[in-house]
Amino acid sequence: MIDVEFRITAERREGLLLELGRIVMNCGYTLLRPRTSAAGDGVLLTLAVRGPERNLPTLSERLSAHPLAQSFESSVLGGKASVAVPAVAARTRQPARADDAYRREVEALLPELARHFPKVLPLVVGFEREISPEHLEEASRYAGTRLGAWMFKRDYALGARMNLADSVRQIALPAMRSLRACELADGALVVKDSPFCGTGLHHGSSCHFLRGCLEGLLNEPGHLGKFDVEETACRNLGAAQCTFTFTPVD
Amino acid sequence: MNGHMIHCELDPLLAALSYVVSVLGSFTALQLAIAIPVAPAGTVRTKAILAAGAAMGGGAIWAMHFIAMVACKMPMAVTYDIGLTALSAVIAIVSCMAGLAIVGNGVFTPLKLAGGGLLMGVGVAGMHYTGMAAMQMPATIAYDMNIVAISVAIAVVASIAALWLAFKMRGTLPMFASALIMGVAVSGMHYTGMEAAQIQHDGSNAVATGIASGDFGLAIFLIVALLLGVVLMITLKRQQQRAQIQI
Repeated sequence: MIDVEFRITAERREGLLLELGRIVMNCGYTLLRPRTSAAGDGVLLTLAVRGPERNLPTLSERLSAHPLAQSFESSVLGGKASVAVPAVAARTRQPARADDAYRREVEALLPELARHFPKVLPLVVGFEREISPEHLEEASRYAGTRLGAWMFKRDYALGARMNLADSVRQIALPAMRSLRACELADGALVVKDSPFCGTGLHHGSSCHFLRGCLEGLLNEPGHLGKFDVEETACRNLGAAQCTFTFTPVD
Repeated sequence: MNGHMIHCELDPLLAALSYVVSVLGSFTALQLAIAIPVAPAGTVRTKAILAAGAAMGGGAIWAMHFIAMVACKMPMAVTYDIGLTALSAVIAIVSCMAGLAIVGNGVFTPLKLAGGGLLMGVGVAGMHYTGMAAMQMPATIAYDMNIVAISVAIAVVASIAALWLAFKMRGTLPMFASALIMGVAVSGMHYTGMEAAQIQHDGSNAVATGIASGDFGLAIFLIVALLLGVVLMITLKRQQQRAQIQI
């Protein structure tokens, strides 16, 4: 067991402790002392946690990658002195860049998605028409990730922790079917009539939102490690259907 | 009288009620059990296992058995030894806790499913035959071991199917299906086990001194009321939590 203190800055306080606390618990850690204080225009959340040392890299990665986190630091609490954690655990994220502005637009979209769920795809297509082309892929994928994680927490969190193949079959497939007709073929997920194809907005593959949804659904549980979803065939590129495959991230 | 076989005349209404209680108990237990995998290790997980095991062992199995025994009308006074009756409840509850803990711990695998289902199935059978041994009456019970083996197999196979549905499939419908199948596991095992029992009058005039089957009425009513209360509470709490989840 190891005691660690994380210091995370964020733009807003709402939901911060709840979301990060859930990540802490999903990684097998116990929350000892959460503290929030003002930090510039935002808020500084200090989390003292205790848990298995082997899960520390995963926990650090997930906390630092959380969309609400702007900067991230951690130190192991050993006796009286604090010790810096090497490598990934001590990584400090870059402050928010101008490019991250699209996230604010996504944040404005998300409550609409929740309100109209599951009829969200027309809203996302409309959103893609409004967002600047250079951020379209990133923004759409990020919105999908958030919706996928939300769907998982709402409807699929309770029950067995499954391996990837079963998670795709029992969680990703029914969740994606609530958005659009789809099926499994050789371990890949196939969408026959993605509304993101043929809109004229994309030059390459176009279903970034659906990719993001799948990533949110599969990465939110935490026990599987992290997966990237790739669109290996897309109707926008002339394929008969859009095909998504799942690759573990090292 | 001495040596003649005694047959149980089944009250169909009470027999149906025993199945309903086993389904209600299973539904409650499985609702509690699906929280085990996501509960943080330690006290919270232990509480989830205890609650699910108690609902399954005490509600779905033990209460079902004794309603079914009340449904079984025999031409003699039957009472139950209090120690063995309590032991039968403990066997059901502990084996269910162990089975659910195995299935709910870590990543779900076929081996864990088989282990958990085996424990729960054996727990159902263990409860039943201990409950039968608790019977005090001027008769002896012999068993057809082939039918006994079939009754245990029914309990194990149906328990595995119910656990598979409850833990792997998401949503309310699979949970109902799982509870219906678990009800088959418990009731199927019980009534098959009753077919295996050959009850023979031993000619004695033994006066039954244990708990009369009618005395179980209050205990069973309390268990059923508690199960309904727990289902309602879980439903309301989960609805509330679901509404609070932010995107």
